Amino acid sequence: MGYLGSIIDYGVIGCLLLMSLIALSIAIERYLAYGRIEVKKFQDRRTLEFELTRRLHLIATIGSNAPYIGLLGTVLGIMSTFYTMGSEGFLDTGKIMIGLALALKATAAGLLVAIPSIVFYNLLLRKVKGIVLRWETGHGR
Amino acid sequence: MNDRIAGIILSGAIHAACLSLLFFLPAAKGVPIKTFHIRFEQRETFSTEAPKPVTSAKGEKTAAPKGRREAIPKAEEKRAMTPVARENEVVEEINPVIPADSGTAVVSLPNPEPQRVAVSGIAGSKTAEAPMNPVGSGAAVVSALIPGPQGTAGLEIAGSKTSGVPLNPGGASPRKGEGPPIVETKFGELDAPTFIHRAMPVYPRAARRLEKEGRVVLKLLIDHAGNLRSVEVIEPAPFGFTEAAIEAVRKSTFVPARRNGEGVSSWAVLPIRFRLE
Repeated sequence: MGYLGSIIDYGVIGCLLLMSLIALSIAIERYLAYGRIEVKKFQDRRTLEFELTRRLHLIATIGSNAPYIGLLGTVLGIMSTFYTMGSEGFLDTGKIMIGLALALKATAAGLLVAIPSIVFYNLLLRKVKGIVLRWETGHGR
Repeated sequence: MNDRIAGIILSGAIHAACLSLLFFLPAAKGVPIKTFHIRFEQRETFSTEAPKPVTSAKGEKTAAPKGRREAIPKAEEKRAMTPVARENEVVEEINPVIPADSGTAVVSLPNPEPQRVAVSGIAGSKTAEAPMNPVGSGAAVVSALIPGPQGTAGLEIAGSKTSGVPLNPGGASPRKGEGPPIVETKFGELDAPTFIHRAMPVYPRAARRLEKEGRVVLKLLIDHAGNLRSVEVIEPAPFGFTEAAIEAVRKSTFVPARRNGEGVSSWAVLPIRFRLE
């Protein structure tokens, strides 16, 4: 159960790291794309919106789900701690506390991923809205 | 497409920067959590057959102001009280000569014949039941090791005191007005002082952070009622180990050493080991 716990731990943290990488790269890519998009080329508002909101949902998904994954890691960590406690019969307080503290770090990592993701998502959404408004004023509506 | 590649690269770079900051910043590492053990070393094996030389000049000197004040002339008392710092130096000077495994044996050196004669001649007091030691008394060793004024001072004090020098090689008749002998023992020995309440030393925080371990050897003067009268550091250790050990000993309470069923004053050696695990 000990090594299983460590696998869970590293798996969760690695998953969160991957999510964070994806979210940030998409955010940067979107930001650059919005900078050089030519509104005039689009005849239809819907195609423009489709082009603009592409992959944005991924950031939103990551932002909303990262805390849950972190929480899952914590729960699994606590589970493994309790399991070892139960199987060993006696465990000193220090070991229990260390187990719990290490379990909590998964939640912290999840929040660390989620907060910037949500921030980026909102900023990009605002940018999308701005570009759509620009297109609308350009096309005289 | 270009944007995507740029995004991936930039994202990777930012993550790498954050992670490296996390891993390589010394502040982020924190203090490693470690359990630690402090152990009072007690040897099971000991010999009552070959008792340690009981008297030493320094023991007497430190004991003098506390134990038998009334017996000492005023001038001598002053003298006995003042050179405390110097006495500690003396102890430390003696220390390296002692073999590491001879725990209590502050004095276990052969010493030149004339010195011994001189000491026994001057100090010359002795308890009848005191075990003999063929070679060496504390005073003799001190004088042998430390030439010059210090040694002679120690001898003078030892000599001028009428009160008990409990043990002395060379043999002399018991004097009158002799105080109870101060026995030299070691914790864990038979009839040695024992703990009533043993306060555990606090592991010094700095030492724990630096992952340092240490061993402190203290010598406690415990009077016949079990009160701690004096603490002498035989083997100091850095990082606050010595202070922690002394603090713990101060908080502890003791049962006095026993000789013939009666509590006697004694010097007891107490090694304390600070160990991390």
